[in-house]
Amino acid sequence: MATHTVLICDDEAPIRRIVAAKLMSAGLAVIEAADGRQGLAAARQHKPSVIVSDYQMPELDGLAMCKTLRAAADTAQIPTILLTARGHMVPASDLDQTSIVRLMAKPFSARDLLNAVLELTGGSNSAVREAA
Amino acid sequence: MPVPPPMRAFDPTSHATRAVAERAARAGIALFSCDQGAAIPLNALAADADMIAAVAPAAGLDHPDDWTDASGTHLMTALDAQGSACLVAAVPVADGWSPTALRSAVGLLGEWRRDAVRLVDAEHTTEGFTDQLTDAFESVHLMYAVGRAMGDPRDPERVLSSGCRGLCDARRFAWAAVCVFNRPDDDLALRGRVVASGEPPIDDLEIALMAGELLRGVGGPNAGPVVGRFSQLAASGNDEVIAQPLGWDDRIVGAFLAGGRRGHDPAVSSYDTQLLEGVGRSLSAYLHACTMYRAQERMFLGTVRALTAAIDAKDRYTRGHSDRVAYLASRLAVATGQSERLAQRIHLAGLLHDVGKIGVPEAVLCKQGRLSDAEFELIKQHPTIGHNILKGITALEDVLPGILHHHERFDGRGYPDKLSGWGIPLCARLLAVADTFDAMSSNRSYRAAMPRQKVLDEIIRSAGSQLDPALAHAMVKLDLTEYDRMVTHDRDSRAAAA
Repeated sequence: MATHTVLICDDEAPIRRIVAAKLMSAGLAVIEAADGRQGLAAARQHKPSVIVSDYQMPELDGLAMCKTLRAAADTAQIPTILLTARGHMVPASDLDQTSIVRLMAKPFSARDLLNAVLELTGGSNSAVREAA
Repeated sequence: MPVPPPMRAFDPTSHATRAVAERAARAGIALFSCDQGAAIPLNALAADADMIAAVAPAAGLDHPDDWTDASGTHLMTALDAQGSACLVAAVPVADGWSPTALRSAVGLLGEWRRDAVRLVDAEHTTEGFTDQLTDAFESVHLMYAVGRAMGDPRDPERVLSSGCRGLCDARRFAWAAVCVFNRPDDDLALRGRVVASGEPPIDDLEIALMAGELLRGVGGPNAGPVVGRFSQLAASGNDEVIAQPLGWDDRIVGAFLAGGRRGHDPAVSSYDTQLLEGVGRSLSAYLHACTMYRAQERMFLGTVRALTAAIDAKDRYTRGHSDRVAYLASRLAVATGQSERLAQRIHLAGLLHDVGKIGVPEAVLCKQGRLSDAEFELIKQHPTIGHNILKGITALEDVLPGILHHHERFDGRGYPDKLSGWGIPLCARLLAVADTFDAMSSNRSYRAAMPRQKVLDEIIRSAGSQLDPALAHAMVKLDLTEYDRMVTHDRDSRAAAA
């Protein structure tokens, strides 16, 4: 079974660490990016199965990054979860121009995020061994 | 896969760069920061004029590796490079360095510097974790504290106040408040009250109006928080207010609001909305419990009053008697060292002690003149009858013994069970003193009220025989001002009714 790769894009290192640790413990491969620009580069290079991204970041924010990814044929289909404390500030019309399939609010349950990612990768919690 | 360290131009003031420059100096190596033609000395050795002149041409190069200056007096090599910027190490040839040795030393310095940068990054990340964890603990602590406080429905103001204070601490709001709306048809606990914490820049009335406005159009108490802006708060620096509706079923009964965050990142985020909603739901459940508790207490006391009114209706001489016995017995309890809580239970027992008289025929109860033995036996049933009437009510379990035994005598010659001494429950001993005192102080169908001094003498005379000696002696020392006021009031209302 090929391992799925997930890109986590957030300017806060603690958030990246928490997400990476949880996803890796479930057997997923994780790539990290610290802002939208790094995220774009990483997505184009690695073509992850799922992207988890913050909204407000330096250089390029998550929404702009997702719009750019959606506009390019090779990254348009990557489903994205927007993990943000400012979800209420994202206009619904803007979401239509992205592949964002879900908004999750911070503080978040890492377990809930893992389940959401697994739904998108087609895996399930029981099928993947998860460290306690 | 970790993120590469963030792009850093070689900031001469950064900890890592200064530290490596100092190490280089100790090794006899001058260090420069070069970018776009400028060469900045980083340590004392580099401040040498000859050195600067020698390095200047290197500053214009992209990657000055193994550069030897034109005069041949200095050796140079790059320690690290990022983009157009680089760190250049230089030594006088006269010091005896070979290019290999220099490269080797500089290689070590470069590794050391990269480790130092990683360390700074790690510390920065740890600080981030510390902040996040601290915030998370504050939020969790608030939920724990509210959960604990909710166990007691008797002091809602304290619980709401600590909820407000906790929210201010956890999310750094300048102020937080709970507002319970004042609708006339509601029997809410704390109806019409605003409980606030911190330093709100507006008064309670304005808080209530703000809450009303924010919640206008909200569907019900299960909706999430609402955020709004108010111009009257602009002067305090932050005009944002967040409000969570409070309520149950489909009623919104109030709001939990906060505002005024200053400093770094003051805008409301989902960290705030999630916590406010969570705590708000707990406070709603709590207010609901308080309201039901109040209603239940009211109904209970209403029922007790109905029972005592039923007795008073049968025997007009005893109107107010139960109230006065309740008052005296509870004050006597406090005077002899009992808790206020116990005194409240004694008061309840006092209100109910003669309930059993409902089972005594009126002809006997209100007879003028002496009772026959048979009639006296009927009267003596009333403690047992009262006990039987009330024994099914669990909320009265602790006062039943007082009601059953309030006619026992200290010397064991009382009724119904001939209990004696301190085998008689305390509640019953207290009621006995109060009952006797009030009976002697009141007009009865069979004799007139006795003068105060005679009553006091009789109480003392009964110490040890009819009454508990310690309680009897405490009784005659009680302040009877309020008691006398009750007597006068009852007498006047009886006269008015006649």
